[in-house]
Amino acid sequence: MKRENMAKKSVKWLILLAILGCIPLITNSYHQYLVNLIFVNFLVSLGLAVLLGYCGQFAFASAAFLGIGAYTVGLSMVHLKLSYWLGLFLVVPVSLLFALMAGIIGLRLSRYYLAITTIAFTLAMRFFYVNGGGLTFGPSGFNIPVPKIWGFSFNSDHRLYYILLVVVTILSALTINILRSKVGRAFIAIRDKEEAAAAASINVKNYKMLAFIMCGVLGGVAGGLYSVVVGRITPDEFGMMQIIFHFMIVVLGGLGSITGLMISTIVITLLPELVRAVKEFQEIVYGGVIIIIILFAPSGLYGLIQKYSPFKFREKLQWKP
Amino acid sequence: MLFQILISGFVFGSCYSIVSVGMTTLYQATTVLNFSHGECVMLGAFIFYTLQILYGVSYPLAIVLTLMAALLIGTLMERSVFRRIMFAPHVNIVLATNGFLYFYRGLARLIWKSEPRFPASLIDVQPISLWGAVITSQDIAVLISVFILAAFFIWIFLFTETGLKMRAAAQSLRGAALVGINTNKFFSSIWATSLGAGAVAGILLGPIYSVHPEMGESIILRAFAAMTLGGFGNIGGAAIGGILMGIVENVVGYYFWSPLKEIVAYIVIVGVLIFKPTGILGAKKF
Repeated sequence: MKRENMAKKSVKWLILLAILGCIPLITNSYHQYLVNLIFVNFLVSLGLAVLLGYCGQFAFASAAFLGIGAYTVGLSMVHLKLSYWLGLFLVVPVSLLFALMAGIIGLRLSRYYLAITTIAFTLAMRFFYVNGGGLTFGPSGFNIPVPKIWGFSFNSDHRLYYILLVVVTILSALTINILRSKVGRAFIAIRDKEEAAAAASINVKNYKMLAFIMCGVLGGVAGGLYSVVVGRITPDEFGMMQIIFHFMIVVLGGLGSITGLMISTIVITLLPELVRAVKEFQEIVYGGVIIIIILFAPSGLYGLIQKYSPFKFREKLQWKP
Repeated sequence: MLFQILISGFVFGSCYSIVSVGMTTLYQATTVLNFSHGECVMLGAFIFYTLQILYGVSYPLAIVLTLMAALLIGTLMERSVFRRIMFAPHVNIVLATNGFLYFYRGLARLIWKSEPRFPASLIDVQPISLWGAVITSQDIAVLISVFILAAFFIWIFLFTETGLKMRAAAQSLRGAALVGINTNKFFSSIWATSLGAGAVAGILLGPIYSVHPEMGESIILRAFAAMTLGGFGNIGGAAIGGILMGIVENVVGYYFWSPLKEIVAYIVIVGVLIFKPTGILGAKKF
């Protein structure tokens, strides 16, 4: 019975993957670029969702890790002449190192202290990119070379999509499985009441550190993917706006819900494109939409859909405001 | 030269301390950390600039009108949004303030475009030379206004009923409501005061800092650093922290490497939190 269930489930996932794999057949280059952005944003917000939504740590570190990943890949390709793939693997230890650093400081802090420190961390990294001289190419940024494998170059948005599909699927499946295991339940326990979690013999320190590391590595790899999706990176992309962007995706998705995260990633990524026609109003519309959603759907987009949709959702929202 | 640096650091620091005192007042009474406060400073500066340069309104009137606009914006923010989500989780409140950040920045970009502007100096007297340092008229204006504001805040907090109510509500909202304090009315007046302080900082910073839609980001970071330095949620600490922040920033920028001026705030934040997390005057308990 159980085996049959699993077979059914894997068939379902395979069909979904096949559908996702067919997306490039129906899109033009611009639409494909947006789909790619959605994938990258999903990965990095998944990292933040682990830290903020599941573990309850008020840390805005994901934009910093996105930048670290993007610069690690870009600089290793430009300076060290490494291949893209090696660079993408290099991101993992580098972002792990930075996540450990952020975690060591972050473990001592809570609430607003942590929020402010992680914002400072992000902007200090941006300062380093701007003033790095020849190493980081200063405020105007630099172009990322096209990734190649055995003479096949991923030089279009449609081709890049398959790299994204593979990496994002593997990493997010891994993360979601971890969140459904003992580790994920420990995170939720820490979020709900730290003292109670410690009393239930959960090692709060280690699990918090693990959450920082998961956020760091997911954000770093997402940064590595982001660098080739946009093709040119500049320091200004990894500042305050990026922080708010990820934070917005996670909170509007309903903290601690993966389905909600998917929905809100799609909505928030496409929102600026929808209002692109009225370019001057872009930021105003953005801000207005955030405020309206917070006012009228305090448990996020997922909560809103759950409330008004005719279908029953299996996944319950875990953090009710 | 050192004296000149200290003086100009003190002038900038006074402006930061007005911003951080405004934020701390709000934080202490309502536990909302307003991420859009830097944008409110920017709006204050822009409104003052528009009235004074573009419409030729006289100085005192322009100041009064700017202040009234700030009080109105603060009340509106509280009435329309923050009153409704007062008991929501902190993440929602922080996201709502970030929504205002986007909104105001977009508004400023739409109305005033991106190039930096310089409003005229507040009072017009000859620069004074003092022990080799040149003190400009704007510096004098800032120093005088800061002393007036400081006196005003101390008077409000320690010697009036409003201050007493504020301290009561900060300790326990429910308790304050129970003894007959109208918390709703009180909250909108706190929001108005906080934004009013922000607008004053905008008026003072305008001529020395240049007014542009992105100025909010760098200002709010320095205000955060000042708040952390003085002990989070401690109003006196925020004032002292702001002044220290301005002086440290100027000294580091002059004697070490001038781009370093930009990240002094981050180094201060991280350093204070690692070595003395309660700040110099002790933090309000979370």
